[in-house]
Amino acid sequence: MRKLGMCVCALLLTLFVSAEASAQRRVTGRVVGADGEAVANASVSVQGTTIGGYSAEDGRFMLNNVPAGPQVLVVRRIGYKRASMALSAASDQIDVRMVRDVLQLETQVVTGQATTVASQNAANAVTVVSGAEVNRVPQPTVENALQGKVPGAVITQNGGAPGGGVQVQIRGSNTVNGAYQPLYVVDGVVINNDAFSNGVNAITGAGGGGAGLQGAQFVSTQDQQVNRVADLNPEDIENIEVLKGPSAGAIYGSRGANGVIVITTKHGQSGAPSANVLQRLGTQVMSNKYNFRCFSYADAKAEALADYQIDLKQSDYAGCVDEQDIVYGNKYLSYETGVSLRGGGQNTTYFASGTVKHDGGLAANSGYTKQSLRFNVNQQMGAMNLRGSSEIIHTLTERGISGNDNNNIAPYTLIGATPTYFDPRRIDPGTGQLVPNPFIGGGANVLQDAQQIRTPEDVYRYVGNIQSDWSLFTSAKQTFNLSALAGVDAYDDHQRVYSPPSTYIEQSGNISPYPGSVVDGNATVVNANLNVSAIHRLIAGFGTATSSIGVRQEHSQSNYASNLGQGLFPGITNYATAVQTAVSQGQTLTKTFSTYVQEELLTAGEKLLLTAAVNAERATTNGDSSKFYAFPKFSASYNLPYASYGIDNLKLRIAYGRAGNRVPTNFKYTFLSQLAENGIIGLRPSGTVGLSTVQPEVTTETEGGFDMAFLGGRANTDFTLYSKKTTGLVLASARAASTGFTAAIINGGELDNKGAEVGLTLIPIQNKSLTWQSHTTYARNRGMVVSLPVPAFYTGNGFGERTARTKVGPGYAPDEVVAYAGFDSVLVNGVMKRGGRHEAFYGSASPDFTMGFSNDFTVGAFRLSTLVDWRKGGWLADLSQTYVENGVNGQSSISGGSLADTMVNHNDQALYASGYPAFLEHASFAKLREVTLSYTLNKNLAGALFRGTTHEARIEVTGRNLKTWTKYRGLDPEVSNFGNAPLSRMWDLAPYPPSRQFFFSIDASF
Amino acid sequence: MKRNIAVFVGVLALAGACRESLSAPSEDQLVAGTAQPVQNLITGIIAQDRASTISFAYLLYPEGLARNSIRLDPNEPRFTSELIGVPIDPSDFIGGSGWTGWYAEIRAANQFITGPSAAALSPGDKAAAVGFVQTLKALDYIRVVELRDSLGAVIQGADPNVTDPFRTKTAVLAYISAVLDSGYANLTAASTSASMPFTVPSGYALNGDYSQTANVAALNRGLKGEVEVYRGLDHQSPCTACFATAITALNTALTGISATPSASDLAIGPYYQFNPSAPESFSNPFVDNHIYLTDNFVQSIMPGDLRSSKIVKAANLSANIAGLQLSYRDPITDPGNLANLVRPIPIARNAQFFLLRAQAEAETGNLVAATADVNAVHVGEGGLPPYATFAGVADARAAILYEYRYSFIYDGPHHLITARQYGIINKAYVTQPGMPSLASDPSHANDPLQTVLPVPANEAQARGNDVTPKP
Repeated sequence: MRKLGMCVCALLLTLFVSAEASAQRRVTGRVVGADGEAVANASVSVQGTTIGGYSAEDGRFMLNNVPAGPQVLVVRRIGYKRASMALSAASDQIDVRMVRDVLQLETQVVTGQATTVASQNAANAVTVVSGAEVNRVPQPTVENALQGKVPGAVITQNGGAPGGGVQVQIRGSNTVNGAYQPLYVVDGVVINNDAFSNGVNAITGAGGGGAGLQGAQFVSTQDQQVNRVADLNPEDIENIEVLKGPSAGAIYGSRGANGVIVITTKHGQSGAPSANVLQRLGTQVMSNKYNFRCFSYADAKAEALADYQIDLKQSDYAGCVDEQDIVYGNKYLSYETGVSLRGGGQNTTYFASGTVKHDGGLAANSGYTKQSLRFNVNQQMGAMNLRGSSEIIHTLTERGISGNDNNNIAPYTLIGATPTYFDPRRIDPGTGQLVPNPFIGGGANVLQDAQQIRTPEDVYRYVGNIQSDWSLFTSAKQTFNLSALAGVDAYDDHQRVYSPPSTYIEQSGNISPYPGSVVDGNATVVNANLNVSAIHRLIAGFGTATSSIGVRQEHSQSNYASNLGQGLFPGITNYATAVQTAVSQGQTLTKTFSTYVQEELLTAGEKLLLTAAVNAERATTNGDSSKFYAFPKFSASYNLPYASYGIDNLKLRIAYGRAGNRVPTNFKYTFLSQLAENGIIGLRPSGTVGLSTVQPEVTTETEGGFDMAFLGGRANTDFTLYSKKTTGLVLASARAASTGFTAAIINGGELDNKGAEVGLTLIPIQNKSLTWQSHTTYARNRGMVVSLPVPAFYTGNGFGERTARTKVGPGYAPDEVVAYAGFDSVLVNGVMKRGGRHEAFYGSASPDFTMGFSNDFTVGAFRLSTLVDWRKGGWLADLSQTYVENGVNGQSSISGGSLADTMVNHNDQALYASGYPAFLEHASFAKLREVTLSYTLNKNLAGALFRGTTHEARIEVTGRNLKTWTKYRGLDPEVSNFGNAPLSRMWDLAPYPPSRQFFFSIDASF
Repeated sequence: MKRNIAVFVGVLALAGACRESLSAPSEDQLVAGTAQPVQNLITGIIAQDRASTISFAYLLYPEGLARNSIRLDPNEPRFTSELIGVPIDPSDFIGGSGWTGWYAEIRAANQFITGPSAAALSPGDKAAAVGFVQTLKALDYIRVVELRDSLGAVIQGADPNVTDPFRTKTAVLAYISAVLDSGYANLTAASTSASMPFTVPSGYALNGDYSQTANVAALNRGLKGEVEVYRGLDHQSPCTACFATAITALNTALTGISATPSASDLAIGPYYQFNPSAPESFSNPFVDNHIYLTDNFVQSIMPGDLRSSKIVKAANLSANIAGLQLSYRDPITDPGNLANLVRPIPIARNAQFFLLRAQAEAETGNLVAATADVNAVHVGEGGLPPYATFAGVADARAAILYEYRYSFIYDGPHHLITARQYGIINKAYVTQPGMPSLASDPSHANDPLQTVLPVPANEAQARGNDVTPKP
C-alpha cells in the first residue's frame, strides 16, 4: 500500500515540476446581500487557487498574492448561493452581491479527508445543518439539536434527566455488537463518544448491583449514562454535515459504517473586532405525569388497615398528595451566557468564545452545568496557512436517581407504591427530620432521598488541533497543497454517587447492612489523530481534477476505575474509610493506521462529478493487526443540462462505498476471569471465547437518487434510495452455556438495511411582508438479518421474554421484538402444572418511518420557527406501568371510592398473568420539538437599548418539547433504560420524567 | 522543490514507522491457554463453585417451588410471579439461572485435570489435586441435575467448541457416579499426598479439615451416596441396586461419627465462607429484607422443635404482592444482625448424609436403620423425642421430608428434591386472594406447581431448541 501511495505521489509531482511562478497583487472588496446589507464571514477565493480569505463584519475582505491576469473570484457563504465574479487583469477592487440560498444548494459538503464539493454537485445525500438551525432553540446537547432535522437519523434520549444521554443511529443498525453510533469529527479531530456508568446500581440494586457486592456489578450499562459528545458546545458550531453511510463515509475507513457527523466550528475573520453576546433565561416543567387515584379518608383508613395493618388517624390523612409534583415539580432557573469575539488583520484572524450554561432540571440535586472556552486562530504565512483551535470544557451533570430499581430508592418506585394520602413533606416532631414512609418497607421517603443523595459527574475536557495547509505550488492551471492536522481530545470524567447514612433507605438494610454508600469512579480518555494529505488540483479544458493522497493515524485509550464503599460515618465520603468496599476497573487501547488515495473529477461544465477513492486501514483490535483492509468508494452526480416543465435543475446521483466497523477492543482474546476467595486470586476461563482471527465488519452501501429544484427556485426536493449490506458481523454469539462458555466471538452472517429518504423544501409565500419557508423530511429503514452462522439469539438486555426481548435471527429485523403469548396448563398425576409458553413475533422495535416538519414564517422583524418530529411505529416495553399498577394506587384490596382506573390495571394484570406481554406498547409519537418567536430590534430601538454599540440585536422566546401526541401510556415514548446499545433499546423503566423547556433570549452583536 | 519532495517522502516514511507500535494487547488481563499456578487455578474452581451455588437459584427458588419461602419485593415482582402462577420464563433471570456458572466451573475443572499445570505436579500431589477437582466437578453436576431433574442435562465433552447433546437424568447421574469413583480412586491411591498441594479456603476447615485428602475422600463418598440415592429414586429409570451402593458409600462418609450424633457432629462438612471487603467483596446473599417464610412452613413445624428458632415474627409485614403478604422470617435474613453477612453456608454436611442413608434404607425395607438415621437429625438438630420404628416406607418418607424441610431451609433444594422423588410435592399451598385452601383444591388447580427450573433459553436457542434428552 505504501508503494501505491508513493507511485501516485510521484505522478502528482510530475504535474507541477515544470510550472512557473507568476506576478501577484492585492485585491480588496465588499460582500453584500440582496438588500445591500453586509455579509460577514463569507469565503472569498480565487478560482483555481488556494488563495482566499473571509469577509469581515462589515462585509469587507482583502486578498493577497492574487495572480496577475484575469481571474475569477468565487464567494461562498452558508445560507447564500455561490457568487462568481470576473476580476479583470487591471482590477484590484471588486464588490460582490450574494443571494440567499434557502434551498441550500451551495453548501459545501465533505467528500474526502481534505476535499469538499458544493452540495449541488454532491453525489451523496449529505445533510447539512447550519449553526443557526442548531441553535434555533437552546439545546441541551449537540445530539438534541439534530432531532427532527436529519432524515434517516433516529435520535433517542435515555430519559428526561438533564445533561444528555442521547444516541444517534443513522439508517438503521449495521451491527449487533459493534459500534452503532456515527463517528464524530470536530474540525478534523476524531471525538470520543464513550459513556461511563456512574455506579448508581450500587444503591438501586439494578442488575444485581446491590446483592452482596458480588462481582462488582455496581458498574453497568443500564442507567443514565451520558455519551460524552454531549460536552461539545452547540453555540460554537458553524455547521454540521451528516454523512449517512459508507457511500459517503468510506474515507473514514473502519469507523465510517455508521455515518460520520462532521462538525465545523466558527472561525475568525479579518477586520475590526466584533463581539456577540447571548443571554438566555428559562425554566422547565414536567411535560407529562401519571394520574394517581385519590382516597377519601374512609377509603384511606380501610386501605391502610387492609394492606398495611396501619390504623390511619385523621391527623395522618393528608388528602390527595401528588408526590410527582413534590419531587419533579420544581421550576429551577436555567440560563446560558455566551460571549464571542471575532477579528483579525490581513494575515491573522481569530475567534474566541466563552459559554456558561446551566439546565436546572426538575428535581432537587439534578441539573447540568457547562462552562467552555474556545479559541480558534488562523495565521497566513506566505504560502502556508496555519490554523489552530483549542477548547476547554467543564461539565457538571447531576442526573439524580431514576430507572431500574430493586432497593426502593428511585422516585417512581416509591411514588407508585405510596398511597396519595401520605405527605412526604411532613416533619417528624421527634427528630426534626422528614417522616419515614410507613407504606414502604424501610420507610424510604422520596423527598429525603431527592434532597440528600448526590450524583455529580464532573468532566474536564480539552479538544484541540493544529492544521496547516501549505500551498507548495500554484499556477493558473494547477495547485499542489500539503495539508496536515494533529488533533487531540482528552478528558477526565469523575463520577460520584453519594448516599448518606442518614436516610431511611440507607438505614433500612435494603442497600447494604451498612448505612451510607459512595461510588467514586474515574475515567481518563485520550483520543489523538494525525492526518497528512497531499492534494493536487488540475484545472484544464475538460474540468477540474482533484487528486489527494494521505495517511492517518489514530490512538484511542481509556482507563476506568470505580470504587464502592458501603458503611460510612456521617459526613465522610471517602470510600476508603467504608466498612466494605469493592472495585471495578477496565482499560482499552486501540491504534489504527490508514492510508488513502482519492481522485475527483468535476467536468462537463461542472455538471458531472466523478469520484473514486480507496482507504486502507489496519487496527490493533483486528485479529491480524498488521493486515490492511481496503474500503473503496465510487460516486457520480450529473446535473442535467436542460430543464423544463418548471424544473430549474435536476441532478441525478449514485454512490457506492464500503466501510468497516471496528472490532471492539479485546474481542480477539480469551481471558481468564479473576475471582478472589480467602485472599487468594483465582483464575478461570472467562465466559467468552475470543477469536484470534477476528476481522472488522464490512458494510457496503449503494445509494442513488435525485435532487430537483423547481418553481423558479421556490422549491427543492431530494429523493434517495439506499441499500446497505453488512457482512462478517462480529458476533458475541450465544454459545450453549453447557460448553463452559456463554458466548464466542465469530465473524459471519449478513445484515441488510434498505430505506428511502425524501426531503421537500418549499417557499409557499415570499413577498415583502411575509416569507414562509417549509421543510419536510421523510425517512424509512427496514433492517433484515439475512443469514446467521449460529441459531437465533437474544440481543441486548431485557427482563425476560415474558415482557419482551429482542432477538437476532434470519428473516427478521435485527431488533425483532419477541414475547410470549400464552402458555399451557396441564394436569399431571392429578396435579395442575404449567406447560410451555408460546412465542410471538411483533416486528422491529425501530420506527416504521420518521418525518420532520419545519416551518419558518418571517414577517418584517418577526420570525416564527416551528419543528414537529413524528415517529411512527416501533415498540416499547412499558415496565414503568407495572410500577404504577403494582403500587397501592393501582391495586387495592378495597373496593369503592375513586377506583376509576383500577379496572384497566386489573385487566393488564390479568393479561400478564395469562402469559401475554400486557406492557408491550406501540411507541409512535409526534412532538412539537421546537418553537421560536424572534424579533430583530430596529436600529433605533437597539441603539437606545445598547447606546448605539450594536450592529444587530434580537430577542427570542423559545420552547422545546412543548407538546407530545401519542397513545403510549408511559410518560414519554422517547426513552430507554438500556439506551447505550445498538439494539434492544426499548425499555421504559421508571425514568426521569420528560420536560418542556422555555427560554427568553437576547442576542446582540457589537 | 527538493525541500517539498523531501517533506513528502518524510510523510510517507511516517506510514512505515507506525507499524511496530500496533501490536500490544489492549488490556492487562491474563490470556487463557498458558500454564498458570495451580493455586490460582484451584482457587478459581473453588471460587466459581461458591459464586454459582451461593445464589438464589440454588438456595431460594427451590424453596419457592416447594412453597416454603418466597421473596416478596415490590420492586421485583418476578420473584413471586415467576415462581407462582405462570410457567417460569426460561429467558429471564429466574428461569435462566442455576446453570451457566456450574458449567463454567466444570469447564475450568476439565481444563485443569487435563492441563499443563496439573501435569507439572508430582504424582502424589497430582492425584490429590485431581481427585479434589473431580469431587467438586461432580458436586456441580449434582446441582445441575437437582434443579432440572427430568429435563436432563449436558455432559460436557473435552472440546469447548462442540455443543454436546442433552442427556437423560439417568445418564447424567451414572456419569456423575463414575466421576466420583474416579476421584475417589485418585484420593485414595497409595501414592496420594496426605494433604492437598494448595491452600483451601477457611470454610473448608471450619467443621472438619478438608485440606486433608482423607477428609475430601469422605466427602466424595457422601456425594456418591447422594447420587446413588438419586439414581434409586429416579422415576424415569429406577435403580434399585443403587440403594445398596449408596449405603456403602455413606457408611464410608460417616465413618467415625456417632450413631446418635450431636449437633456439631451433624454440622461437619466443608462450608462456604464470605468476606464483604475487596477484592473478594462477597457477602452472604441471604441478608435480605424481602425473604419471608410461607404460612404453611410456619404452621407445619412440630411443637418443641429447636428449629423453630428459624421462624420469627418479622418487625414489618412483607410487601403485598398481588395480594400475597407474609409475616414470618428466618432471622438469618435480617440485615440488622451484621453477623449474618458472614454466616457460612454448608456445601455438604453429615446431617444430609444421615438422611440420605435413611432414604436408601427405607427404600430397601430396613426401617429400623432408617428410623435410626432419621432420628440422628430429628433429635440431634430438632431436639425432639426420637421416632419409634417406622411402620412403613410412607412413614419413613414423611419423616425424612420433615427433616429436610426444617434442617435444610436455605441450604439447598433438598426438601424440594425429596418431595419430587416421593411424588408428594403438592402438600403445600400459597394462598393468594381468590385461591381456595389446599384441602378444597388438592389438585392445585388454583396454584399450579412447577417442580423444576426450565432449560435456560440461551442454552436451548444455541442448540436450535433441541433439548430432548438422549440416553
